[in-house]
Amino acid sequence: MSDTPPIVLEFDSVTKWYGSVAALLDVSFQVCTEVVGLVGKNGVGKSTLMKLAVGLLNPSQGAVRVCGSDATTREARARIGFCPDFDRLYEPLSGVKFVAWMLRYHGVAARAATMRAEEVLTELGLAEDMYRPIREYSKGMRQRVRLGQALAHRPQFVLLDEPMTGLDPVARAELADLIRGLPQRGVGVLVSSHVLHELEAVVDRVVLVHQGRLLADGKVEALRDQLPERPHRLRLKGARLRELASQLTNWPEVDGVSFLSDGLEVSLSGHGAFYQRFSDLAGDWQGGIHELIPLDDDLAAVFGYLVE
Amino acid sequence: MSLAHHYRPLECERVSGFQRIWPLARQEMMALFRTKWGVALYFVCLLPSLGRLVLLLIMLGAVDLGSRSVAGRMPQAMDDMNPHRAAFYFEGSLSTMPGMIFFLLLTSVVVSRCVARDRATNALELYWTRGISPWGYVFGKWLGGFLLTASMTVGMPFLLWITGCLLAEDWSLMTDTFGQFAIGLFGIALMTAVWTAIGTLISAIAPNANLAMVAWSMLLVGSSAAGFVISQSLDESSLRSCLSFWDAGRVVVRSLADLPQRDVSLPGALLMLGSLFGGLLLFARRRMRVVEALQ
Repeated sequence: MSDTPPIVLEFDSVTKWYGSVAALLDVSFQVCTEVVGLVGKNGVGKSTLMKLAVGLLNPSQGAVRVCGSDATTREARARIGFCPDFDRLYEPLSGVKFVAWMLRYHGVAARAATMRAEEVLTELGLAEDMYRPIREYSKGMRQRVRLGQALAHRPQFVLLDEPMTGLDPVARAELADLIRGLPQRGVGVLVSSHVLHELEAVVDRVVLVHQGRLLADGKVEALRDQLPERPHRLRLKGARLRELASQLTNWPEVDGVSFLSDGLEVSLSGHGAFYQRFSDLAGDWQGGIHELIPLDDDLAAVFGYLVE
Repeated sequence: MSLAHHYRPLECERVSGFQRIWPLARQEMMALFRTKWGVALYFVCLLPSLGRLVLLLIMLGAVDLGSRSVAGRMPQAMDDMNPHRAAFYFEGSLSTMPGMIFFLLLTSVVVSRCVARDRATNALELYWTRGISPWGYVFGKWLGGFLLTASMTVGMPFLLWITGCLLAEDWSLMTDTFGQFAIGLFGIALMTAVWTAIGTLISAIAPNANLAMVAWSMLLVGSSAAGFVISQSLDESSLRSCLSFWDAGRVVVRSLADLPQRDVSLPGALLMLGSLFGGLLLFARRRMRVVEALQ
């Protein structure tokens, strides 16, 4: 048996035209049972990509498949869970009724739908509030209901559009845990968010879309390493900064060192070798090294470099 | 938050398309009753029928005001006020006042907002990633609105007629009125279906619920007013049913029930209803293009 995880979403050379305007051009990527972040500025084709992924649009060229089926077919839709970016649910309904109601559109009988809705909302931490009307819910509770309806029919591919919006820090952390746990249950997740640092904490890899094209696809660190023309920068704080600076400037993997008001900013050409060498130095450094912070290794920096 | 249970495909029975759409229709039908204002509005809309019920009780002597003899001696011109005539039971649903006004009150809150409300909140995308098609969704919305409206336009006349039959001295009221009443009631059901379909299509076209409500109200009242004014000024009464879809429906029902009408054009009325419905259907189809993949 092969260990390759199953592909739940596949974009195969997808192009989408709206009249003479190309919204997406030759986009190919796959989502297996993992969490993939979808990143892009507004108006670059992200919404079109999401609509194609859940079968709301037909590609002009290429194919979109969910678990091997064309995304627009009923077989595919039964495997898709969609958590859209809107806050207004059916206010007078209770959370459990709303989720059960959504399940019934998938062909689940009334009683089974209610039981499954209760089960999924309990799992999402709404056991005590699921029978209250949605109009009395907080934003976090509404988000759980939205997520509940996306997960209730046990889909294999889930698309989450801005799932963290409006949540307090505790609810964000809980939701992040939940999203990270989905691949262990055989679910592939595509998450779209503008909050890049939160997205980075959740995803296994990212797909960057810019001007209708797939700009990059991979793990954030791997993408960062593929930008050699952009030296890694890091900030150092510690004792005897002048001595440290003069020592670092002699290292071949260090491009330059500049002084900040309370530390050093170091530019690196080979950051792997630098970290290896620096760990030895830091252990022996009199007075100690107090802080070492990479300044441009995160998703926001990578995204910024790529779209420049 | 933790998903304690292992993920596994949800076991569910294969059900027909209608069984998937029915919850949507039921939800639409019951939405009005989820708020106290909705319940109040529904009972306000039943007032004309309740008025007729009081009249029926008086005319048939259940409430003794000495008017039992009046019902038997009413001139034919007052058929729609005579409980021994079929028109008494369904004419109220067809009249401009109060019929159209209370129809407008109910449908402007329920039918005209149904699709536009979901479009404004982006809920349409949520439905269309489910097992129902866009037109299945529109059908479900229409069905819910139709059933609720028909409970007023069809259900209340039926209840009135049953009450009349039970209160009458013998079964002659039932045997005399059954045929015409059944056809008239069928006609009203048909027209309620067409009118609510027009309202649902306007809702499918409008960008938001409030605009849909305004457009529906203006079309219903405006076309009726325009029909009246133009037909009066041109001294051509038959024009009224060609310009107002409410009056057109009324002409169709009265023709079906074989009730006397003067200066009306049945082909004009049918053409009016058909062209309005067809035109709105084309617009709605264009408006729902975002779901091109599902059509």
